[in-house]
Amino acid sequence: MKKKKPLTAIQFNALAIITLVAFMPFAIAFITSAGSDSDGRYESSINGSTSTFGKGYWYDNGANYTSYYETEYPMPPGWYNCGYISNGQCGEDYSYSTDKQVFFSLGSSTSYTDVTSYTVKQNLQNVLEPGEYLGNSGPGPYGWLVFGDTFTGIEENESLDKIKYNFVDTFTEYLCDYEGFTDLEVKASLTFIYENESKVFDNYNMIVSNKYEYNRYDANNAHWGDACVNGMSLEFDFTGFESLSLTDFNGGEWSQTDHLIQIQSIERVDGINLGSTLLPFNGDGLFVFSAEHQEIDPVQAGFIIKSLTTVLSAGTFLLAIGSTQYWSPLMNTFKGRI
Amino acid sequence: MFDIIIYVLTLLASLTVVGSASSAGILNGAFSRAFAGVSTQIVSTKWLLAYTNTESFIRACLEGQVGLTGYIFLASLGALILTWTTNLYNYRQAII
Repeated sequence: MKKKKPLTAIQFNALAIITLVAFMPFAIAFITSAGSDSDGRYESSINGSTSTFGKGYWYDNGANYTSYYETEYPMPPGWYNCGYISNGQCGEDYSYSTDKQVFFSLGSSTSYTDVTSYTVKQNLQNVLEPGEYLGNSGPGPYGWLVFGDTFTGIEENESLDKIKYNFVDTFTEYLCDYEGFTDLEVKASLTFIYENESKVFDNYNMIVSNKYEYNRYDANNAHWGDACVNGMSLEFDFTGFESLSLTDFNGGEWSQTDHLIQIQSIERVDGINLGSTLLPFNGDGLFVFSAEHQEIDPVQAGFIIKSLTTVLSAGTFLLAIGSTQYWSPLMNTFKGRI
Repeated sequence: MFDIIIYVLTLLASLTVVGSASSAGILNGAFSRAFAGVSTQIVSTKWLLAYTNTESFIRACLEGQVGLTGYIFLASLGALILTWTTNLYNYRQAII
């Protein structure tokens, strides 16, 4: 039998480079998607109707236009102290309102699709009368802290693969080709808060549409049909190890884990100034909030992540040894034994 | 911070490519070697940072999200970088 020739230096170098820039990234891609739900079906994260008062509060509500509203619609001092909310707190003048936070206080649950949602206040509903909204709240930041007990659809000990938050203004319908619908680039982050500790997932860049299409019953024409409204879905997709570390973080106690959803900035993809672009959570009215999620199999994901990382470590270590002059003596030592 | 590991790895890899090509009688001129080296590093860095999740995996390993196996992987990666750097210093090529 013809003896195989050992690798030449150039062949080994080529192998090393291929391992580094091709094999390793693919192996890592496989590791990061370990255990992901492949059927792509979302489950509602909010089930049925629960007690709805104070299920969360506004954390940030856009740019500060308080001086504009004070000039345009004069009111008693302190009236607009919650017209601008930053880091979960209203403005500094608390003479009118004793609340430092604006709760999602309307709180009726509704099912506009097959997922349960909450009807909540738009960013300036608390301080403006209908029709007073400027039509613009700036490119951000926006944020909502939603309490853990809202998410009755996420079972305890479940590991999340993805979670999607829907913000939809179901109260005004548009033609589906309405020119106000556009694609937006959203920079967002998600923070889970459990027992005063937080776990942050940041640097998400999403391209989302401000058009939300769904099937609903049209009472005027007595039939089911598609409706196009102003809405936005923010999807946070976790890698396999992020899902597992998240479960480690809160021990799977989702009812006690608050979700802080933050939008750092919103820009139009077409480059036009955001201006008065339709955003479902801006205005002096209401919108609906819902959440959907996919779960991950933690046992399968843990096995794939740990075993593949071990293989990757062994391969990298062998590559390091193979890059030295000790490789040939080492192979000679094992020759005939394995 | 985590990008630095990838920059170092791709720098060593591009030096290996240039060194190997030079040994094989290709890229004899200084300009062609420099051009090939810089191009290889830019392309491989861009590929690893923009189109793969290598950086987030390394970060997860450092933050302990992958557990003990993640630290073992980092140790192996460290050994590889150390070996290639030492080789480069002692023998003027990353892989000997």
